[in-house]
Amino acid sequence: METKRISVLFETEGTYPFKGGGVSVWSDILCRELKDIDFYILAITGNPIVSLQYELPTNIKKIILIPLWGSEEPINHFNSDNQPKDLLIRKRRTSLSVIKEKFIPLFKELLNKINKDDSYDLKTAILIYNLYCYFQIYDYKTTFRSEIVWKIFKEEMTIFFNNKHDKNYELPSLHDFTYSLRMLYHYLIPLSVGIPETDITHTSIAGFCGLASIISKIKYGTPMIVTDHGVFMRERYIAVSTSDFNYFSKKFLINLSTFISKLCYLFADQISPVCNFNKKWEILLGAQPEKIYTIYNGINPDLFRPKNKPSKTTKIPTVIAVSHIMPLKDIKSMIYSCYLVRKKIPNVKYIVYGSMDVDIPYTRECQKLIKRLKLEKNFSLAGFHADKSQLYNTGDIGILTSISEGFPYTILESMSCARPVVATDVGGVKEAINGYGILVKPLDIKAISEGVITLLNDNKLRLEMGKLARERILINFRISSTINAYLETYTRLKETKKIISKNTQNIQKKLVEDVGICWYMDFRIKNNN
Amino acid sequence: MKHTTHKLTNYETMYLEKINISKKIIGLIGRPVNSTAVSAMLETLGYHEKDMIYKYGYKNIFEFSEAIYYICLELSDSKKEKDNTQTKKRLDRKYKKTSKYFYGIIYIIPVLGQIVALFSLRYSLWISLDFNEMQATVVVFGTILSFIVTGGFIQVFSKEGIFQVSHENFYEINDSATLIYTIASIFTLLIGLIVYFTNMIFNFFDPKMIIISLLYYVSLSFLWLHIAILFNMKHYLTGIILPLLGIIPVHLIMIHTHWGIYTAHLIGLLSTNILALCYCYFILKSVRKHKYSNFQIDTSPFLELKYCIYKNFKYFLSGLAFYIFFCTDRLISWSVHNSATNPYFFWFKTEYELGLVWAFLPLLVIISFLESLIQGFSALISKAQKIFIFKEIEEHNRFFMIYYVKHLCLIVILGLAFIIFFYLLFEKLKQVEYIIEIQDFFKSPITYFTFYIASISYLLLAIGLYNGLIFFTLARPQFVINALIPAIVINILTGLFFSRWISYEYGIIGLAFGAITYAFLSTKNAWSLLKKIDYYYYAGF
Repeated sequence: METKRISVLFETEGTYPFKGGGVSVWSDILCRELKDIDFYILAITGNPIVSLQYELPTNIKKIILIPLWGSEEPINHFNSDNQPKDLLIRKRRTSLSVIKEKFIPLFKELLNKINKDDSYDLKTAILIYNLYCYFQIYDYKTTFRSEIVWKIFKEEMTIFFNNKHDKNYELPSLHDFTYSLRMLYHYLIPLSVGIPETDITHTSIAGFCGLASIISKIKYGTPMIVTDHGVFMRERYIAVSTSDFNYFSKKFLINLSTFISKLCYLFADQISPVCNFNKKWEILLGAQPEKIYTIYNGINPDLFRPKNKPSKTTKIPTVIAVSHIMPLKDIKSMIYSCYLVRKKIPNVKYIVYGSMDVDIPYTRECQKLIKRLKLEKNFSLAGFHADKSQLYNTGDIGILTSISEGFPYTILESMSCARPVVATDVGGVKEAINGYGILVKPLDIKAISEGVITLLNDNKLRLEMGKLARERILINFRISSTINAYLETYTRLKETKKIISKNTQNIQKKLVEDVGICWYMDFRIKNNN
Repeated sequence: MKHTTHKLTNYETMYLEKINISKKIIGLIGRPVNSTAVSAMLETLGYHEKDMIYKYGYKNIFEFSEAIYYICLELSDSKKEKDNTQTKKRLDRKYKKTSKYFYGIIYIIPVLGQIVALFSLRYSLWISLDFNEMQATVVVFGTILSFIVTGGFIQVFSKEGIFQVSHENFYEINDSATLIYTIASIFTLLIGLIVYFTNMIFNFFDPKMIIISLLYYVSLSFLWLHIAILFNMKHYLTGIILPLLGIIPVHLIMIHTHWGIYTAHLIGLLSTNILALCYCYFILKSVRKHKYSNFQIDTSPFLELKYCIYKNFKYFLSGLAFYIFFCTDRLISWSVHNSATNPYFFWFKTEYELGLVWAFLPLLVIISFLESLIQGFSALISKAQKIFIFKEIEEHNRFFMIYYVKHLCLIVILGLAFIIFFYLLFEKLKQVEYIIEIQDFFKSPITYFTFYIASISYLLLAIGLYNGLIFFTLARPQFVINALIPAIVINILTGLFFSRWISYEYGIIGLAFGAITYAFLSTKNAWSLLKKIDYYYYAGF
């Protein structure tokens, strides 16, 4: 008897299939290797114009593209069968009285929840579902663009500010208000997307794309799994805190992100970090420890296998990095370390393979730094390279200088090629290396350069460490282990759907009593939908 | 003096270290939003769980972060409510200093170039000083039609260009420009055919005249479209030079052949259009290279077309309405029936047209000035948002209302000054008695009458245009339409009434009443918008 294929709504944010990087590599492996699973990709992107970076396997059945920026009518991009006349009808339907009666109460509650960072419960999820229901009928942009929404936002934020006011608090500018509400508009766009019913939802980050999982759980009773690479909130804290925004805007963005992230953990049936390091953050953000089950990333050791260096580079001590050029990867420390290493090994060569478009201003700063330190012959930014398996064998060692990581593939790949790494002790790097490479403190340029010098000068140590590193990969981090763990998870969670569905029916019964849901039901009945 | 050496206790050493860490955190991120933000930053600095337990005696990094967070609160600068009156004053002054008042002149250089060519060679790319009234009717009718038909598309190009460039949607720039260009081309040709067949039925012009007129219309329409693409892609120099280059073939044909002015013009326009089209194709293709391949969303080209129309319809309508408004008085005056002077339904009225051209010159200068004003407005509005705090929203809006009134006064004063300047300049020219064309220019009182009324009307129109630019900046094209449609109706009704009741030149009264309506309604709309500019700025997405 033929069994029904498992369907998974797979949610990504700024990664697969439109961008490279570790999360995308992991997503590609998952979709490609799990041939018997049907994937529906819900991809949040920054821009509507995106290009596929991966050849899609046939088991990817659909891609729902959700651009958060750069689109006048975001709905065009994910409801491709929507005719302009439907949009017009939807806009006309979104009258001021509708916004006042149906949206504003929800909006006030939402702002209240965002501003208080301690209220994450079923009621909060129901609020999210109510908002979703509203945006399935009424126009997202018209609602957010209405004067009443701006007025209420100003009022609520003023009340919040006045309540929280202390002497040291920086006074928010009008720009803070404008910026914060616009951010809310952009980040909540996923609420206006129609969510397809699948057996399981799998979000690749406990962030805004996870809204689809929460909605699917309430609407269809779909079990949900969260995979944490770098913890969303941890990276968000770093990105927002180091930005140029004012205090108020930073606080609002952090509160909004925390609100969504905590909901994801609350609703997840399984939380699978890619390394144990993430657990403490997940627990801090409300995840129940018994739901956490680490699934390490794995790679194909046959693809990443040791080879001799090409003859033309044999005599050049070469350090290879595979990394996007972006602040989180701290490429500047890598450049400075090269400067220090050159003093001891004048012909040292650092080559960084990775996209230079992720943060163009930062890339320019790096290029200027290379020039300023006169490292043009020793340090090269080689750009994106499609075939990573060939890169590590062109060098002697690998390097990673990130200030934040999950469980980076580049470490595993380099080790698999028997190239030991000098890496910063962040995220799960320590769990991966486990003594078969050199760990240093992040931002510690001296320690990084000393690590590189040690490995490049000591051939015996380097070769021995490389050999052991490869063995560690063969034993612990094979792609098959990762895939089997996810297949087992999907199969198990599918079985729980029936139970969750029953619970969901109970929740929905309660929801029908709620005024917010009644009008949604009424509308659907009237429209035979 | 006796020095006492004090050995730090463990507790004190630890405290000093925590202060150092806190200072480091503040240096990196300023005042942290909460203790978890401190944890994230500590990890990026290489602090680990084991440091917390063995070195600092805390249970974990989060507990340690909380201690650091409170020190950060103590240490971070207190930013109390400060008096920002001076900053606000400087804001206005700074703008005045840095603005390039006549930056917008690049938009009128193509027209100025043609005027210079006209007076130095006696012909430009599509006009000649030696045209008789019939020739002028043919050419100017084609020109007016080209402005009206392409005006909406030019507005759409501008809106799409600004949006896509600001979002770095390079692929979309190409696609939307190609789509709009295709629609505009089809629309232009279709209108040409409709005019041709309508003429066959109603005989406004004789068949030869209408064909020449339509050839000018089509050539000029494409020229406007090409220049619009070039300007939106910020290739200003090419947009300025190409129409000037087009005069070369016109000049060569006029000197070396006897093919006549029509042929010379049409070949000049054709060659300019071919060059411009190739250049547009080249630049659009080059921006497309920014992306490798596009993710194909499952939509039909027809649906894309419908969305393009849906998104841009109001902008199209506002552009179309403006050019209809601008040309209405001419068409009304030209069509006043007088069998002695009017062999056809529309007939060029030289005296009237000269008055309009005269009045158009100050308008041209004011338009260039408006461009810089609106750029200043856009820059100021985002700066002001950061200076006014949340309690000062009313004050913020008032600031812009005052700013707007100042601008209106500036437009009126400068407008009147330029009107007087051009009046005196032409009066001076009148004294050059040996140039017959100059004497011809001033021989009719109708020219003076048209100049007086049209120059004031154009000044009012400039106020409407300035308001329109504010509306477009804040993505509110409907405010332009709301003001223009009644203005067109009044222009037509009063123009028809006065031109038929008194004399053809009184068609200009229609322009005057229309301009008053447009200026009044758009100012009213602008005023209500400025009262809530905090909201309109937020909602300008």
